[in-house]
Amino acid sequence: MKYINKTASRIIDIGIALSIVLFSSGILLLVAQGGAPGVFVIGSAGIPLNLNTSSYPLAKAVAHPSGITLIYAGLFALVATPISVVSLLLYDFVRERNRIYAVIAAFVLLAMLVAILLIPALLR
Amino acid sequence: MRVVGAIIIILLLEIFAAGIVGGLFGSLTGLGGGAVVVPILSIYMGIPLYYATGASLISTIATSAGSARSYIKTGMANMRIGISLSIGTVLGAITGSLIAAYVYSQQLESVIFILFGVVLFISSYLELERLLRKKKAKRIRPDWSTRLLGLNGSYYDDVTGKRVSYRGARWHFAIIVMYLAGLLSGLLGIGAGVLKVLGMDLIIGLPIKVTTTTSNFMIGVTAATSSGIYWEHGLIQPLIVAPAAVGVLIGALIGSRLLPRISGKEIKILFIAIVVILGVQMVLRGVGIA
Repeated sequence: MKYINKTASRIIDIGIALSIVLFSSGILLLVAQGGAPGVFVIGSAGIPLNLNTSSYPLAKAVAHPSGITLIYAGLFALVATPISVVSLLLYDFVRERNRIYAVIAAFVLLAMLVAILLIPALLR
Repeated sequence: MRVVGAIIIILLLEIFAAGIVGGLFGSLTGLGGGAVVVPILSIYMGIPLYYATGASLISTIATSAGSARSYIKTGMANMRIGISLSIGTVLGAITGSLIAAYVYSQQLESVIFILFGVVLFISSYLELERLLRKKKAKRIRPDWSTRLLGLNGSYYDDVTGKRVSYRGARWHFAIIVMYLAGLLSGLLGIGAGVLKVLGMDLIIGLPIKVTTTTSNFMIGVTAATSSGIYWEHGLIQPLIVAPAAVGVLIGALIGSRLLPRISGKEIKILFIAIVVILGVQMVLRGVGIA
C-alpha cells in the first residue's frame, strides 16, 4: 500500500499541475487571440453567457484548436485524476487478492465511468 | 474595442480573485472552497448560479486532490475506508447532478439558492460545534463491517509523536450519510466535506485527522462523478471555470499555510460568521428579497 500511496500522490501532482497549466494558458490564449471560432471574448462587454460545454461541443474544440481547447483539456486532466487514483487502487486490490475491496473499487470506478460517459450520452 | 477588451480582462481577474477568496475562506473555515466561491460569484458578481456551481464543482476536484495528496502519501488518509464509503457518495452524486440539471432546465434557480443557504447554515453550525467540542476518544464496539471491511488502521501523530491505532464500525449507517453528502455535492457543486467528516467521525468513530484527510480523497472522486452530467447540460462555462479553479486552488494553498499559524478559535469563528452571512444572502436571493 505504501508504494500505491506514493504513486497515487504523484498522479494527483501531475493531474493538478497539468490542469492548472492548461487552464492558465487557455485563458491567456483566448485573450491574446480575442476569442475562439464563433466566440468573441475581447469584443464582448461581459462574460459571454451563451458559451458553455453544451453550446461549444468537444468536437468543435478539437477541430478548431483555441484557448477553449486548452481549457477543455484541463478539465479532462482534472476529472481523469480521481479516476486514475481509483483505477490504481483497483489494480492494487486485485494484485493483493483482496476480493472484497477489488469489487468495491471496481463498482466505484464503474459508477464514475457510467456517470461521466454513459449517462450524458443517454441524455443527448 | 480596447475598452471592452479591458473590461473582459478585469472580469476574468475578478473571477480569479473571487476564487482566491473562496479557496482561502473555504480552507480556513473547513467548509471547502465551493461553499464560499458560489455565493461570491452568484451574489456579488451576478454570474448565473448554474455557472457558479459548475465552476465550484470543478474547483472542488482540484482543491480536494491537492489537499489529499500529502495525506495519501503518508497514509493518514485511509484509502480503503475512503473507497468503501465512495460507493454512497458516487451514487448520491449521480442523483444530485441529475436533479440539478432538471432544476436548472425548469428555471427553478431559487430552490438551489435557498437550499445552498440552508446547507451553509448547517455546515457552519457543525463546523463550529466541532471547533468548540472537547474531543474525547470514542470506544466503538466492532461489528460485521469492522471485520469484513477491515475498518482499522494507524497513523503517526506529529503532535504527540506517537502512532495512533483506530478502528471503526457501523459502515451501513455511514453509507446513508455518504449518499446524502454525494447528493448535495452533485446538486450544489460543493464538496460537502463537513457531512462526510461527520459521518466518519460520529458514526464510524474514526479519529478526526483520519476523517478530514480521507474526506478530501472522497470529495475529488464524488465531484468528478458529477462532472459528466454538468458538462452535458452546459453548466460549465470555460471562461468562468478556468480562472475560478486556478484561484480557488491558490487560495486553498495560502489557507493551508496560514491555518497552522492561526491558533485562536476567535478568528475561525469570525470566518464562519462571514460564511453564515453569505448563507443569509443566498436564502434572501432565493426568496426574491435580495
